[in-house]
This record gives sequence, structure tokens and C-alpha cells, in this order.
Amino acid sequence: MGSTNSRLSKEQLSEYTDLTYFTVGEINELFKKFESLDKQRLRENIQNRIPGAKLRELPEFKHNPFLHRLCAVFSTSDDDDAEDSLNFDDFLDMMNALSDQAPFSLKAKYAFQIFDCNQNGYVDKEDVLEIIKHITKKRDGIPLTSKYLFHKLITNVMLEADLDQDDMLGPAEFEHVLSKSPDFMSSFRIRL
Amino acid sequence: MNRYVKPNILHIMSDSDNILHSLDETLKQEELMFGLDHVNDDTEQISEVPRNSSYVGEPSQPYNEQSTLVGNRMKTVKETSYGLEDILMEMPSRTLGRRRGRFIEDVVASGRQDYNTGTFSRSTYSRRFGSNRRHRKITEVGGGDEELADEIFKEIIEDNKEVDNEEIRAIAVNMEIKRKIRRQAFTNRETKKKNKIGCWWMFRHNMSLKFRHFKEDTRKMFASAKLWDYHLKQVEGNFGSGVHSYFTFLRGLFLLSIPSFILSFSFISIPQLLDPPARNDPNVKFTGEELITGANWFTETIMYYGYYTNGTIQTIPGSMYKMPLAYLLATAGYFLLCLLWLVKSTATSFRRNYIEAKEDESDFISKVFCAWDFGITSEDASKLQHTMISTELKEILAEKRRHKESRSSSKKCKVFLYRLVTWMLYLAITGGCMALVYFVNKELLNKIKDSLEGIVVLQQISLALIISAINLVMPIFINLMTHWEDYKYPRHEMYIAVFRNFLLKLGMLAVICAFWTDDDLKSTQTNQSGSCWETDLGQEIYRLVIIDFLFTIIFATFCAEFIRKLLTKCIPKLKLAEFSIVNNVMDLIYGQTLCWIGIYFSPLLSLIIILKYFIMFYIKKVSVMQNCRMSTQRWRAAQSQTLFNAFLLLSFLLCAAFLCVVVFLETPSYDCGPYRGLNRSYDAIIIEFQRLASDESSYWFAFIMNVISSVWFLYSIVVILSTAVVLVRSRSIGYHKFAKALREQISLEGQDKALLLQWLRDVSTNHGQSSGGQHVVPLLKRHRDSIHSTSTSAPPSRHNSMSHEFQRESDILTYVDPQHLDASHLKISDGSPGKVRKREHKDPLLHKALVNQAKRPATLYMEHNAGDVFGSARQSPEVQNRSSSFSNSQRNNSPSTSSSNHDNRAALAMSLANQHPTEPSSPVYYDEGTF
Repeated sequence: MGSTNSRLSKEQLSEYTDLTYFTVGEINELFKKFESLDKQRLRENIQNRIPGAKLRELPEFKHNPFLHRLCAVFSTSDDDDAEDSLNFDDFLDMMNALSDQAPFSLKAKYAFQIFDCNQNGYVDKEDVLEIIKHITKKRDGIPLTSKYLFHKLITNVMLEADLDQDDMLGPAEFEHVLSKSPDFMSSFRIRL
Repeated sequence: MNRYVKPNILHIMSDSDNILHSLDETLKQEELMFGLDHVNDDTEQISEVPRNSSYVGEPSQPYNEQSTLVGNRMKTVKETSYGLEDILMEMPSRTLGRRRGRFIEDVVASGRQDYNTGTFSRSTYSRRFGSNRRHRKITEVGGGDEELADEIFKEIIEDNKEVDNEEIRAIAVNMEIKRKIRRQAFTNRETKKKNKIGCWWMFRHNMSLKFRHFKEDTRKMFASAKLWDYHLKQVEGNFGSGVHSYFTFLRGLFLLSIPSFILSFSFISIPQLLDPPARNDPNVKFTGEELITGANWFTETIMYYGYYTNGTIQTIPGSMYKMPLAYLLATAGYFLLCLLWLVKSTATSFRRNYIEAKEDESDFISKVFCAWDFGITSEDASKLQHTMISTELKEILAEKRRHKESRSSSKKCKVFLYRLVTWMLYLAITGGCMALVYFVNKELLNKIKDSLEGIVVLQQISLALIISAINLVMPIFINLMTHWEDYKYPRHEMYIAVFRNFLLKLGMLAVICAFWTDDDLKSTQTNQSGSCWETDLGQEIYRLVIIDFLFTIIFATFCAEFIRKLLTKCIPKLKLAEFSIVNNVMDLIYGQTLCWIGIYFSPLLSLIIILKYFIMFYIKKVSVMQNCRMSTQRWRAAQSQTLFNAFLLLSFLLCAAFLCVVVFLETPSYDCGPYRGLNRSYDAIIIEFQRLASDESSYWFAFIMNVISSVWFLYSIVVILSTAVVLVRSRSIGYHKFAKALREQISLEGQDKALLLQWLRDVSTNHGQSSGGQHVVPLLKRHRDSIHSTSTSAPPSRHNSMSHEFQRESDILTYVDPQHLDASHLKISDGSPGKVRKREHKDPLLHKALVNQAKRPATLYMEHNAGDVFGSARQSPEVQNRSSSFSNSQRNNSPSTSSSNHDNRAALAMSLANQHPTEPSSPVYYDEGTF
């Protein structure tokens, strides 16, 4: 595919193909997508960072309620002001984890980090509440306002998932839980 | 100290396990240097103890000092592996759950090599669940990329010696680290190349590398050349993974029919085209209506069975192409291909979705953690998804409640009666439809033909029209009927409805097949000479395929979706049609069934099917995108896919069975087709074999065939297969038991954690006395039971034979550890604070046991505080590190003192006991610090 007009060098491309599940064409496509967010900045340096909120401009992330979590998890930025900014490496990492070919364990590990909203190393009740709020965003739909309902849901989730009954899910526990639900692989992916 | 439950079994998912595991490791390290260093510790501790005791003596501030004391004690405990040992032994998972813990070991031991896979070797373990170490590092180590990369690299090297791209890709770290690992792997490879001069090794290494590259390249090539990927993505973005699964199903069928077409076309049709036989009736002209009826001009083309010759084709000089043989073998090959594909896809999806997932239990998990479809790109879809998820969450809550409240018996009775009636009704309808098809075929067709003298086309397609009409209308009724039946779960309703539709369609097809293969009935239809029932059946199937296709396009797609869309503009209340995945998939399965039945009678049917799928894909896609709205019910794509695959497989097997009957039992037409003149089609192969067998030059072939077709060979195959099935079955039962045991183990370890936290809390809030160890109570009960059974025999000394004493479960259960005793179980004889209390046990059994224990001086038991050690370990990973670093430091200072451990322990325990002014003869001593 059109690797001739790509701004990525051959070594870079081969490195990326080694490190991700993408082909050369797909990487170029992804780069074009990423570049389109802020051409100016990326022209200067390929590894320049783009604030995470900018990703909303891509159709893939436009309606994703977990975008801020995705950015926070995948960002390698040390800068406190731009904690969720992504460079192309991070972006590729993200798309890699969400790609079709990524194995279950990789997806599950990142899913764990994404769902661990308060970043305490566990998916606990607070996180579950946060997740439910994210996925049932009240627009014109029926909002899940009742605290009782929330409470019930969380208890039930914990009842099902929490194997060692400590009211929170560790990484391994979470992975185990996801392996029991076949929908995960089809829902936790973004097609190119 | 062989009494750890195997570490890798415990390596499950719980966090408490992590704690225990790290402790286990610490202990093991200590074990190593136990002989030399341990003694030294103990002497140090003894010298330390008097300092501590001074705190106890001060009555003014007992509680504050207590905590300091506890701190010191804790240190003492930490410094003694026995203390940790004891604590470990007190955890619910090792005492209460010991039997079950043992069970795991038993399973593993008895299962021999079978279960080795079950316990996960280290590398498989880390591949499946990710190495703990790796994960911890990733989450905890902030900086130090280089170190982390090193660490991971080493770990992979340890696991499988070779770091390949596949391995690197699957690590959940950021690109920078991956890059470093890759670089390391590269240099590693280079140095290996330099160091190892082995020529063979180099060659093998290079080959494996090349092969891996090749595999990767082909995989990527296939991945990039996916058919209709763009459309699929578009559909998924707008309609979610449910509708997407319909289109992938369609694509799968399309891709399956391409090789089958190539097979039949190249092995059956092309040879025949090279040597076309003359037409019986050269006057027939192509008029166009054949496209629908499949008759007339088409009858004598390569389209149908009847046209093929029974001779050999010798167009190319020197070649002998035996048509009958080719015809049968190509068809058999096609079926084999389909079988492989179907079995593979069904098995994988079945395994993934049903066996590995506990089906009904993961409702909430999948609806919360897997609800959001990340692939969605359109705004409407995302809005809808939000709504859908919230309604669904409400629904499952309601469902759960409904599940709990069982129906009253009168209602149950009513529902049962209702279902009975609907089933009867359904069976009646199905029977009626089948009878209708039968009569149309047998009686009415001729009459219709008479009455429709002029319109030949209608005559021919009348049966297909009737069947397709039934197929179009009946599902609506059946769905309604099933809806009225009031099933608890919508999913069950869907399953039942799908099953009924499936049965109805197959039933009608079965009637047609039976009709054409039954000799008496055949004669009524094919009374004129020169006709060929195989061709007739092929034509019938052809018509069914075409008419069914047209009906789907015209009614199901055009009318139900497009016209409805137009109507919505006039009638605002009417909403856009939902894309019904079930009905559409069932249509596909039906179409594929037709193809399988017809392929033998009409080899080119697969071409028609390919065209059909191709057109269908685009029409359906456009229709979905333009005329449909997203379903308001979420679709459990993964599980229904399994269901559809299963239906497809079932219908395939039925078709194959039917064709076997045709080939092995039915008499082929006398004067048409490749098997004319034979009693059965299969005879063609037998004749060929006999010819080969009689031929001297191919003696070996005959021999092999003889062996293969002998009873003994078949018998042994059946025996081997059934043995394999039994083995696999028993293994799966074993796995189930194993998984169950592991699950129990996990929950017990969870209890450990709770217990430890409780102890920690007690200690840290200084209220140990009042609320000490609620979690120990169940433990005590167990103890009491066991004491009851063996209270007469004195429990073995704890410290004498550390490595042997807990080998039997009865031992551990009879030993009563004072630490377990709850305050509520004790009579407090002296309530004044500051003084050490003498307590007697309320429970006579426990008391007795304790007295027994106390009679042996060697059992004077060193006190420790369990909660603190564990609690703090749980609390922060630093403590874990500290404890491990501690063991290292211990290893370093090792002056050898030569006194037995036992003596040291006794002395230590005595000195601990002597801190308090209590009567040495009293049965049990307690120190406040322990509670």
C-alpha cells in the first residue's frame, strides 16, 4: 500500500509491524488518522503529543464514553499538565490493544486498567458505579437514577465476579471474569 | 516443611494468595538457611525479650504499651519462620478448607499426566493469566523503563528460551519498553549466533525464524485481504455486533461455497464439457423462463445429474477420466470439506461460549463490563446503545427478582397447559404443512397442471411457490405463538422459536426428499419414459432456491423494510423495521440446506448459491443501512452464533444422511446420469475396486482396500474412537472437579484475607480484646468437632517434629491453637486491667484439649501476633519486599551456634511466658497482646 508517501521511515514501519498486530498498510492508515488531528504539530516531530480530548474528532472515539480512561491508560506522558496526551506510539499501543488480532490476555489487562477508574489497582464498587454511569449516560434514554438500582447492580456484579469476597476485583480476578463472558472479545475492539 | 499446598495451585486469582505466596517464598528462603542461621535468631530474640517485658509491667498505660509490645512481638514472629508457619496453618484455607485443599492435590496426583496441563506449568500459567510478577511490575514500577524491559525479557527467556514478535506484542506495556525488549531480543539472538557454533543449531534456528516470518506474513496478508471488510465495519459501526454477526455468517457461507464450486466445476463439469453428449431433443430452445423454472433447456445441460455420462472421457489422448467415479468422489470431497469447516467452527465457538463460560451466571458481568461496543461510530447508534444498556440493566434486575419469586402452582399449571396447547398446535401446523406439500406433490400437481394449461411456468413452480409462501408466513405465526407462551427469559423464547422454524422448514424439505426417493411415488410423477428422477429433484431444488431467494428479496427485504420506510413518512407512529437477525439467519441456513441437498443432483447449484449470496450481501447491506433501525434488544452475538452454527451443522448432517441413502440404497434412474444401469450409485466404486483388485499391477491397492474395508479395521477404529471419547470425557470431568476445587480454594483464601484484615484492624485499633477474631469462630466449630472425636489422644507436640506432624488432616484438626480462641469462649477470671488474666475455656471440649496440650511442656507455645504480620503484608507491597530483604540479611549474618532448635524454641517460649507474673502450672496462658 501507499508506503512511498508515508512519513514513517522503513525502519520505523518494520519496528511497528514487529511490535504490533498491524500490517504496514494499517500502520500508515493509522498514522494518517493520527496526523489529521494536528498536522502542524506532527510535521515538526512525529513523536509530538496530542491532547487526548482531541481524539474525539475521530469517528472511532467520538461517542466512546471511555475515551478519557483510554487516554489516561495509554498515555506515557510525564507532564502533569498533559497527563492524557498521546503520541503516535501511545496511539498505536491503544489501537493495538483494541485491534481484532490482539489476544484475550492483552485486551483483558488493558480493560482492567481502563475500568479501574480510581486507579487504586482494583476494580472496586466505586469503579463499577463509574462504569455503569458511563455506559448508561442519560441523554434521551431512560436514566438509571435510582440509587437503589445502582446499589443492586453493583452488589450483583460483585456477587458474580468477586471470587474471594473482598468486594473488589484484582487484575487476575477481573481477567478470569472476562474470560467467562464471550461478548468481551467482540465488544472490546475497534475495527480499522 | 512439605505442607504447603502446592504453590502453583494456589497461584489462582486472589490477592490474599499473593500475600501468602510471597510469604511462602520468604519461608522457603528461610528454610534454605534454616540449619545455620535460625539458631542465631532465636538467641538474639531471647536477649531482646526482657526489654519488652518492662513495658508490660506498667499498669498505667497498658493499651498503648500493648501495641508497642505487639510491634515487638510481631517482629519476633517475623524473625521466626515457625511463627509464619503457624499463622499459615491457621488460615481458613489451610485448616477449615484443608480437606478441600488436599482434594486439589489428590486430583492432581491421581490424574497423573492428564492433570499436568490442568495445574498450568509456569509458562502456560503466565501466558494465560499473565505473570504476576510482570503485572505487578507494570502497575507499580513507575520509572525505570530499562529495568522493567530487562525484567520482562528475562522472564520470557526463562519461560521459552526464545523471544519472538508474537510474544512481545502480547505484553501489556507501552511501546518504548517493547522496543527495548525487542532490541534486547535482537542482540541476544546475535550473541547466540556468535557463541553457538553448532551448524545444525544455526540451520534449525534460521529455518524456524523463517517459518515464523512466513506464518506471520501470511496471517497479515489474509487479515488485510478480508472480503467486504469495509462494509462489515460500516454495519458494525451503525448497528452493533449483533447485525454484524449476521453479515459475517453470510460471508462465511459465501466463502465456503467458493471452494465447493471450484471442486465440483473442475472435476465434474469441465470434463463433461470437453466431451458433450448429444441432446436427446435438439429442438428445445432457451427462452429465459428456465432461469426460474430450471427446466426445459436446462434439463440437458451440465446443470443436472441426468446429463452426465456413465462412460470415460478420453478427449485428451492417453487419459481415461471415469465420470461416475469423479462425480461421486467430488461430491464426497465437497461434503468432507463442509464437514471439516462446520465442525471446526462449531467446536471452537461452542468451546469458547458455552464450555469456558458458565452460561447463565455471567449476566451482570457481561452486561456491565462488556456492554459497551467499542466499535460503534455513529451517533444514533451510541445514543441507542446507552438507552439499550440502561433498559437492559433494569431488565436483568427485574429478571433476577422474577427468578427468585417462583411462580405459584396454579400459574405454573396454567403455563404448562398453555405450552402443551401451543406445542400441539405447532405440531399440528407442521404436520399440516408437510401433508400439504405431500398432497400437492402427489395429487394436486397434475390437476393444477391441467387447470393451468397455458402457463407452463406456473405449473412448474407451483410447489416451490407454496413452500416458500409457507416459509414466509409461518415464522410470523410461530414467533407470535412462542411469544404468548410467556417464557421467563427472552433468550429462551428465541431459542424455542428458532427451533420451531427450523423444524418446520426441514420437515417440508424432508417430505420432498422422501417423495422423490420413494419408488411408488416417483412413478406417479415420472410416468413418461426417458425421465430422470434425479434431474427432477434437482430442478425442484433449483426452483426452491430461486423462489426462496426472490421471496426473501421481494417480501422480506423490499416490502417489509423499504415499503415500511416509505410508510413511516406518512404514518409517524410507525417506526422503521428492526433487522431481525434470527429470521434472516434462519433463512440463510435454509438456503444452505437446499444447496447441500441439491448439490448431488445438480452440481452447478453451488454457482447459483454463490451468486445468490453475493447479491444478497449487497441488498441486505443497503437495506439495513437505509431502511432499518437498530434492534432495541441487545444481541448476545457470541452465544447465538454458536446456536446458528449448531443448526447449520445439524442440517448438514441430515442432508448428508439423505445423500448417503441416495448413494448407497436408492436405485438410480435407468437411462440417465453417470450411474445408469447400476443397482446403486455406490456400485460404481465397488466395480472400480474390483477391477483394481483383479489387476496384478495394483495388488497393493487391493490389499490396502481389503484391510480398510474389513470388519476388523472398522471395529478397531470404532474402539479407538470410543476409547478416546471416554478418555476425553473423564478428563473433562476431572477438569470440572479441579475447577470447582480451585474456586472453593479461592473463596477460602478470600476468607483468609478477610480474617487477616480483621486481625490487623483489631490490633491497630487496640480493641483486640473486645472484638478479637470473629472470623475464627467457624474455625473453632470445626475444631470442636474434631476434638470431640479424638480428644482422648493427646495431640502431638508441635515443635518436636515440625516437618512430620501435620501430614494427616486429623492432626491439624485436633490441635487447638490458643490463638484461635475467641474472647467469648473464655471465662475471664480476673477483670482488672494491667494484670495478665488467667482464662479458662468455657467450652469443656476445648478446655480438655487445652489441658491436654498444656500437660506437655514442649508444647509451650510461642506467642505471636498473626494479624499484624499478614495485615501489614497485605497493606503494602513494601512489607513484602522488606520481609524478603530481611531473609536476605538473615542469610548474611550467620554465625553458627550449636544448639538444637527445639531447645531454643522452648527457651524462647519460656522466656516469653516468664514475662508475666502468672502461675506456671495453670493450663493455658494468654497474653493480652494476642487479642
